[in-house]
Amino acid sequence: MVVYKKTAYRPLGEKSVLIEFGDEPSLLLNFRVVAFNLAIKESDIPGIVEVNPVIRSLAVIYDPKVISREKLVKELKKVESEMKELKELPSRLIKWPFWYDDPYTRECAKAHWDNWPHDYGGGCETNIEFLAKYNGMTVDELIKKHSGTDWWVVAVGFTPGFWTAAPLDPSVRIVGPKYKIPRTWTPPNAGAIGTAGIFFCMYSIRGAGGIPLIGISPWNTYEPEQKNRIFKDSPVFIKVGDRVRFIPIGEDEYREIRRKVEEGTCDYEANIKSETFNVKEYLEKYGGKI
Amino acid sequence: MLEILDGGIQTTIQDCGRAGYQAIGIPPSGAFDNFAFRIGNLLVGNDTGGPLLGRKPGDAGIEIMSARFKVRALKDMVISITGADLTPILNNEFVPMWKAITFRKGEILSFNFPRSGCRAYLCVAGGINVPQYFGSRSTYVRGRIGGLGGRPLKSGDIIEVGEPKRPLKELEGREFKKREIPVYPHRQEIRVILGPQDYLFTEESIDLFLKTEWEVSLKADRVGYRYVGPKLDFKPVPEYLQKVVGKDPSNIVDDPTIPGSLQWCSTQLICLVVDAITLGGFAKPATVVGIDISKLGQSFAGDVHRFVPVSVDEALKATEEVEEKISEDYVVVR
Repeated sequence: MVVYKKTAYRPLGEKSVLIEFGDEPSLLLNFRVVAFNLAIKESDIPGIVEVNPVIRSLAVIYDPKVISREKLVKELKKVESEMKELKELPSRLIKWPFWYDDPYTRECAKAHWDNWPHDYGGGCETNIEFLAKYNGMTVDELIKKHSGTDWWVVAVGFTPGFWTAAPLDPSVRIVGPKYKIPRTWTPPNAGAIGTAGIFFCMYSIRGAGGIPLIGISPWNTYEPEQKNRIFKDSPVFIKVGDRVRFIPIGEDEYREIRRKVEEGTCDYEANIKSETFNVKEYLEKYGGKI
Repeated sequence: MLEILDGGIQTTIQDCGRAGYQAIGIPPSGAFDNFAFRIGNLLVGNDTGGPLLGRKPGDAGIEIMSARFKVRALKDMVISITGADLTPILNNEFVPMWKAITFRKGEILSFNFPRSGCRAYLCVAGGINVPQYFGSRSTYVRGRIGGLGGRPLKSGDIIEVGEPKRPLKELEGREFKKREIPVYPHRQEIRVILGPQDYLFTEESIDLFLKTEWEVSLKADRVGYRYVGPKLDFKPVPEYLQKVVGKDPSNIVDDPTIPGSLQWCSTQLICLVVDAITLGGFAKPATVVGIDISKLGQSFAGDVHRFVPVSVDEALKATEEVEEKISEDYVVVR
């Protein structure tokens, strides 16, 4: 069973509680995480400093001078028990421009040639070519599949703005191996196929990385300078429970959008729509498969 | 104002951190040795803020790692130096630490080689006055935020100092009680709370984890401290999980991490600290108690840590005892 019969409340240090709905990378668990996160925010439990929702669990950090652990856990369990059956969740649809098989991620793959776990063989020169072959399809087919579903954001973080998403269409299972030795750098805003192929990850800063790259976005994932309007209130605008649809673009579009991003005039908002996601309907359709 | 003449190895502006943004991947940052830093602020009459992962950043100061930092005063001010003894020298003389002293216009203060501990704090009456970024002045270098341009200090930087809260004459000579000054031995006991994933390890491995003297490796920075030590083993991983996370039993489906999270990463133990990543896919046998993250901040490669399990109540009681010392009752005026 994906969902634990009884939600686990585990210690995460002396002023933080980890609440875990299950141990699998399932959307079913993430829907609960999103709903619980919203319910905690709407509750009036005192002393909560912050909540960090990640895939299947949430960390609740609190001020032990305001509320004791016993009292906090009791209150959280009360909120949990009052949560109604999951029918719908607020969820934005974000149309995210993405240049698949671009020269930046190609260059990065080349620079880390020796870190790759497999013999490229068969003329594969990049991560995406390898992934296509590995999954028995052409690069074009992989792009079509990848951009043909909406991706549910299950976690934000690791580094600032780094986000992880799972495909809402469970038949989209693009799988790939991890790097043998992690890359020492990754271009910011590059996208990669996560472990076991059920996740997509977007890198936000030029950090190390261990999963194969498939393309790059002209959009900033993290903008500490807060130049573009979308970042006005926060250097990260994406959040858990958003849906991302990748819009394949080519070089010209990439350069045009990138120019605006650097100028601080990019209209991200035109690509973002606030919607309600019908969880019930979705589960009726796919419940057994996620 | 202060003029930086040599930025040293990694010198950053810090306060007590930026809580509340882990859900977007931003760690709290803040002074690595929260206690030493806050005593520094206490001595010069500044706002001492609160513990890590709280909402009280307090006034900002300068965190100096290991050695080689040089600064000139561009006006008369009162300062304090706490934390590691990095051989601070002013006017060709060793500077007394854990004491508010006068730093006159034109004088040069230098930090040289480490005699004890790893990170020193320079606090100035009035605090370091850089703009706040999301409620804190703490520098987070990887995220390019806080401090001065989100980066370590370098020579040529000019730093603004805020308005002192009390007349400088009143502050001069204030000392922290001598018997309360911490020492930074090479062997330390670090208190931990077991969990959240201690149950995934074999019982023998949890015993081994608590019995071992873990050696701090060369790979130790504000994100994480890697340890050298034995191998820990796991109970068998159920098949349904092997399919999704792979055969390595230390891999779990990502979950939240915090400063203090001890992760077993395939073959190595890593303690995440003040600039921690905010989620991870490795099993965590325990979490270091907040007040003992300060001890890591004062440890170098080769130092040895033993992890001692405590209950949540014991951890909170110990925290309370530390908090009590950050008060005027512990300041001696000579």
